[in-house]
Amino acid sequence: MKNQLRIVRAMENLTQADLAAAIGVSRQTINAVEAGKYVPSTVLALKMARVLHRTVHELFELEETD
Amino acid sequence: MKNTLLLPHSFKWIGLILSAGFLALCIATFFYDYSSPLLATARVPHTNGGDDNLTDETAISGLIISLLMIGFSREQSEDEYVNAVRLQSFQIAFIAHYSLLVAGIFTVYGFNFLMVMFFSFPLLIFVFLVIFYWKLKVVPYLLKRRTA
Repeated sequence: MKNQLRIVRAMENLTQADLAAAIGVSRQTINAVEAGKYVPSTVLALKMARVLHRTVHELFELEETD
Repeated sequence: MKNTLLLPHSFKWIGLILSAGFLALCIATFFYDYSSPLLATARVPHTNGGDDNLTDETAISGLIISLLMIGFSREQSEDEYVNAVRLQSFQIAFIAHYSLLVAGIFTVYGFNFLMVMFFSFPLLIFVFLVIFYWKLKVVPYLLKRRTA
């Protein structure tokens, strides 16, 4: 699964730590999601979308291999 | 879904201190034949008269329990990613542990095999801890260095 998290986070002027604190997860989690190492749960994806003022579809995109 | 089977974070440090102590006791007991007079007891019937000191049992049990404290304590920031890493680490540790055990069954014989079986008890949790903290702490650090 691809994601635009890093780009959108930069557009919103947020660090990984800021985003993690706003959502209530660790910075490692944000880093792992951005690096594509971890697929977030539905709840986490929705929280990310809410904090970044985007829809989930704008943040995450399915790949052919998914 | 919250993981409710975890101990408070403080148990990690208690477990670390205890495991260091019990590991030292294990080394003293199994490699230097140390027996504590405090743990001497009347001959235990179910051991067929073979054991009158509980130092080795205390050492290995203490090591297992203290390692379990470390493994089953919450991280400072416990979230779904840490839970996922923990589950994955358990799976890998389980496979690695039993692979080592099967290798030991075919390569180690006699009295040494008894030692293999004895040390296999804490080995699973030890392998889990190595994999868990490698994935949680070392891998992100190496990735960060590579992308910096």
